[in-house]
Amino acid sequence: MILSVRDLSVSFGDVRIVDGVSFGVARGRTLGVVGESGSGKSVTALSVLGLHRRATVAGSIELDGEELVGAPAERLRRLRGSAVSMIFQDPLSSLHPFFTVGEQIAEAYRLHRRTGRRVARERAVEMLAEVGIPEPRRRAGEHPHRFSGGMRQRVMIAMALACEPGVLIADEPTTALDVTVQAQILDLIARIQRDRGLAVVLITHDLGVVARMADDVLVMYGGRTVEHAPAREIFKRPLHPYTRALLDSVPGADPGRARLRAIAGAPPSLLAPPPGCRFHPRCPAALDVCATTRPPLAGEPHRVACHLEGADH
Amino acid sequence: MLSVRDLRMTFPVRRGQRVRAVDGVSFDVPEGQALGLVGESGCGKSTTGRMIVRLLEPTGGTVTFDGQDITHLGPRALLPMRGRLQMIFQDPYASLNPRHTVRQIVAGPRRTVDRDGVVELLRLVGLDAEHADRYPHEFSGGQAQRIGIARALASRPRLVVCDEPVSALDVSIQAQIVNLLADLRADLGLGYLFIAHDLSVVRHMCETVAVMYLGRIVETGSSATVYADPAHPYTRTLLSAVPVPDPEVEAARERIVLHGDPPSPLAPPPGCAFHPRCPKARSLCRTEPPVLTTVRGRQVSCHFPEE
Repeated sequence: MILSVRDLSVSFGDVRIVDGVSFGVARGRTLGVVGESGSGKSVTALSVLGLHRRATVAGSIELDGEELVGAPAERLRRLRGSAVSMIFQDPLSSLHPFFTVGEQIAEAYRLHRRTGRRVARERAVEMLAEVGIPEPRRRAGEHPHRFSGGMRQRVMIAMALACEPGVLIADEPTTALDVTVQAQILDLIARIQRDRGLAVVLITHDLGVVARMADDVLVMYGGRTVEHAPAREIFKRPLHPYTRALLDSVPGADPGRARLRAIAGAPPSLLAPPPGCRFHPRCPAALDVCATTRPPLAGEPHRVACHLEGADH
Repeated sequence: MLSVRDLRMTFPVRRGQRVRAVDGVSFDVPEGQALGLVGESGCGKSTTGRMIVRLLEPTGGTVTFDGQDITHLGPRALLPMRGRLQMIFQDPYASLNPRHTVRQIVAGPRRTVDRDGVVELLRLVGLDAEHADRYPHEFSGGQAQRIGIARALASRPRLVVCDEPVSALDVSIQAQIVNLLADLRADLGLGYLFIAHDLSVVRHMCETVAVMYLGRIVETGSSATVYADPAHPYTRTLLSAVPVPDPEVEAARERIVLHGDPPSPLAPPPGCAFHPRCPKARSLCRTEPPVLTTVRGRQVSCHFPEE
């Protein structure tokens, strides 16, 4: 496991956003992290990069054998971009509007590799070519606003991978893109991952994207892991009622059905999370114990946090 | 009920240039039916929706609603139509006045609905009477969208233009809103023009679908026909690009990946607008724009439709 997260908890003041999440990703593998807004999936990812200055982080995050929780800020700054990189949903807000894309890729490279400007510039052109941008030498001299959404995401990927990190964290990388462009970007990520043996953590709300890309899937709800299993397993035999409900609520799962199977209610507030299992107020099969006791995450390799599974029905 | 013929919208841009956002679109929405308008960003689907509710005045073509030509009606003449033709927007927060209570929002500026009426509308969309005195920021995205729907229903519309009504919502909430829209349609006999980039939602909601590319309809027909057997290469590509939540299907399926981005409507390619990205383009496609013709029970605008 190049990245190994154990019992991670992230709190802002008294509010616990992530509560005891564990996972590992090996080289060349993709972990899909699925959840709705407020499930804690993005906060989990940002903690890996140590990007939460005001948060209290507990547990362990090991990157290539090195503990990141409690590591000095300067060390984390070195690792970001060179050992672990991140791409975001909205590439335009992550690119500086005043500098050319070539300058921005080169800057990151120069800082980490301590090379000269000329070498860094060549590297930028090389990376733009690798991510499939036509005429990379000319385009390197252009500013971000000259690029389409899909091309900007390619630029972000080029920048993230210029220093050859072992881990890429992709937070909703295609959510803002059209489907035909999404297909291109997913293909690109898959190809680069194959070529470089990259470990990818793919955060998304789109179960279709997960099915296409992930080897393993972690489903988060209300800051906790509810299910964690190999992708084929989880789609074929979802064990947690929430995972099942999510898969059932996708339109087209069963064409011709008049109504979608919606999940009643709304995701929980983390300011006042429900006691016991956080899904119990919306769960169609909840028992008394679900309202009082937190279900443990159990099973191997298909891990699920549900009292119903323990009772074996 | 709604009939759109050769609808066009050109916007002036810098240096005297004009962009053709919608370039000759025709369709009908019969009473109580749902038509889905799908396409990628910039294809003109939202502009089309805005022209139909007359938030924009078309620069060409006609919009006929209930037998009346409303294409160029002025604000005063439009008022009686406004009630019967309503719209639901993508971002529920942006489309609700933050300084108004839910009651004020639903009752509307002319107080067309009384207190009991507001409560009844809130119940209809799955909210409670106690919600009436709160403000939009106190609601979740799904609830805010329900308020937007209640507001649209207040004037007893017969056709509702839904512009991406679920795409800003969480997956588990999307299904709730889709079901609500389906129930309202069954109970009230509403017609929908459903604008979305999500092909699976449209398949679920609409009997008829129209696929747009660069301001034009490239394929239209019954959803069952078009989804089962797309004839336009673009429709085929769109359908193949949507990932399905099943890893085995995903691993086995053949995907058409297009090269390049959608072209700019400022400089549309000659001939068929899709030809620079089309895997099957031939020389005719580069020069001669295709027209909609009937192929296997649907209309398609392609020189060489898929067999």
